[in-house]
Amino acid sequence: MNLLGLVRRELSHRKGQAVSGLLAIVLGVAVIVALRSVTRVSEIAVATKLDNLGANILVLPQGTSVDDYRSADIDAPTLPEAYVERIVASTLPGVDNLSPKLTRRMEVGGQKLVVTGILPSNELASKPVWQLDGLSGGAGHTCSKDAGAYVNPRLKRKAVGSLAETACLVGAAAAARLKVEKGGVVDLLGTPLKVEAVLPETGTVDDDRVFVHLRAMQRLTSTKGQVSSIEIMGCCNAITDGLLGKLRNVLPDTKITTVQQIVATQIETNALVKKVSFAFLWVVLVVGGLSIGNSIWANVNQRRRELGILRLLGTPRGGIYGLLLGKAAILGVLGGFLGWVTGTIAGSTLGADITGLEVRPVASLLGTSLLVAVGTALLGAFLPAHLASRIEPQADLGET
Amino acid sequence: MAAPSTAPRAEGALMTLEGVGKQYTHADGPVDALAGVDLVLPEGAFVTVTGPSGSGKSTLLSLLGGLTRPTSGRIAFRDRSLDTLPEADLALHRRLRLGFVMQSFCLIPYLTAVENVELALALAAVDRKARREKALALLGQVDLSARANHLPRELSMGQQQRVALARAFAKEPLLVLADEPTGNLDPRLARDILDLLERMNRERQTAVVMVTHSPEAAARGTLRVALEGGRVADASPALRLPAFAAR
Ligand SMILES: Nc1ncnc2c1ncn2[C@@H]1O[C@H](COP(=O)(O)OP(=O)(O)OP(=O)(O)O)[C@@H](O)[C@H]1O
Ligand SMILES: [Mg+2]
Repeated sequence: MNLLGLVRRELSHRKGQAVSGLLAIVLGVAVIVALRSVTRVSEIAVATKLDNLGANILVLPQGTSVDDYRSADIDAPTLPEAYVERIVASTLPGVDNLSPKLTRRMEVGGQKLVVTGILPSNELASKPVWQLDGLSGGAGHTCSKDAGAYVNPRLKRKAVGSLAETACLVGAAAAARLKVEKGGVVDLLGTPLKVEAVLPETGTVDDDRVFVHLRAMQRLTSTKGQVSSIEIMGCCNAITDGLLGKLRNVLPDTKITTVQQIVATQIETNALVKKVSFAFLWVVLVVGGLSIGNSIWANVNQRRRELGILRLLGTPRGGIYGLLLGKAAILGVLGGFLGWVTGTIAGSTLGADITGLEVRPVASLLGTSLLVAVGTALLGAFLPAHLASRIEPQADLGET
Repeated sequence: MAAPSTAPRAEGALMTLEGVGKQYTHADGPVDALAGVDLVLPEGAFVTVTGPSGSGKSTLLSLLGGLTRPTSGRIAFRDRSLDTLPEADLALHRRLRLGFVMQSFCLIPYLTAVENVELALALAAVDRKARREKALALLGQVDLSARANHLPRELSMGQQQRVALARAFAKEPLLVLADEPTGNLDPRLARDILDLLERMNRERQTAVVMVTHSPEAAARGTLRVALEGGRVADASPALRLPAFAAR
């Protein structure tokens, strides 16, 4: 039995009291961990999204917001497909790939899904200048390296060589929802489409989509000659040289934005959540510190006699400090760990619900959690420990 | 004239008190709990302190144990003056050289009997391995081997006081201070405790100062002091400060 043993004994003797003092720290750390693990996933999602968009310039109908583009509602505005020709005709330098798309959220086989009409490369190839070779204008050109600061080669998708107007490609998740396989049939607004292939899982929004031929899409949605977006692969250098402005001159009645702008909202949200979690850090430090301080303070009052006995036995003031700060530190470690576990669980369940992304435990947050919790506990315990060290050893002598 | 800074020292004295007074400040005016106390405490003595309530017995014990400082006079332990000793050194002095037995037992409630004894040994820097052995040996001496793993609340009052006794003597202190150690016990249990105190004092040559109200207990002391109104009313000759040092 020594002082450390004493701390452990006292802790297990008054478990409930100790744990209740921890509640604020556990909750605070949990919130921070949950927020951080969700933002971390969201940050990865942003990067992945940038990767997968492949194209880095997006031409959208005038007056549409990025949200409209994402939600792809049935009545979302469109722009003439002829604009593609206009861009081509302008022979602007730095325009590598063009990919017109018509995207709509609609009922497919009884499921609400996003359907995207694309032009397969065999048709695009017939228009030599276009040189489009990807599902979404995938890279593969001379300037794609610097163009795609975000491009991760592993995520690059295979080009769709050909796609009949009576066929479709189904994303992995969409296929699961529709319960179809390669060779099956999907009903799109009353028109049966043969499933040409189920696309391999990419971990992106494409997994939830159905891809059809642009012509078929235009026919089915009665939007002949219209597209909802034109994705452009532009050279980064060209973009910095003012490609966006030049494009805006060519297509004055459209909204031209870069991919960075598309995810800007999410980037902003991430930054905001990050800020909130830092703000929360202060809340945890203050509230958690007060709650631990309060609990240790109650503990000191309850133990006045016992601390007097320890002083009588010759425990130095430093020993009394050690006793209470040691207890606080142990509680801090416990609180940090419990907070991390709670936050991780909350982050992965709630986070998955909110963001639709899979939130995995972030091990590195454990270290931060422990640090914050122990620091908070020590801070909170300091004053009570100081007061406890002032307890006179003869406290008991006068008592009869 | 003797230099006032040197500690008073009588031959064979464990502790020496010279002109010791303790005044408490209180809103209703100062209280002189002790005044002008001259005493010599010989090594290995068994001293009993008696006196009416409020006569300063507990105050005297506090001063001997370095728990409070005198407001006047000088106190020395062997060659060393306690007056100038910093608080941290007084604590060290207590945990190495002193044992305490209190009326209210003063055991740590969530530690078992053997752990309570071990804790005092740990504080006295006794080797980790030797602690348990020593603690168990002492519990054996107070006839509590069978209760070593009991918590204080699982022990009778007499048993609790015996644990406290084992704790006080386990570290082989030079002095054990006992404030009415039998005050809460019935006469038969009180006798057991007194027997043990007597035996420990005899066998280990540990000096004991015991405050008591009971004449029977007081009679056990080989040397006796009677206090009255914070002054020494009567004391065995061996406790009197030799004239040369008292000056
Ligand atoms: N902290 C204090 N402040 C003011 N006066 C005190 C304080 N402690 C003790 N006294 C006073 O000092 C005197 C001696 O007290 P002390 O406790 O030494 O008496 P005692 O002989 O032990 O009495 P008892 O037999 O009742 O235990 C008493 O008059 C008491 O009121
Ligand atoms: Mg008393």
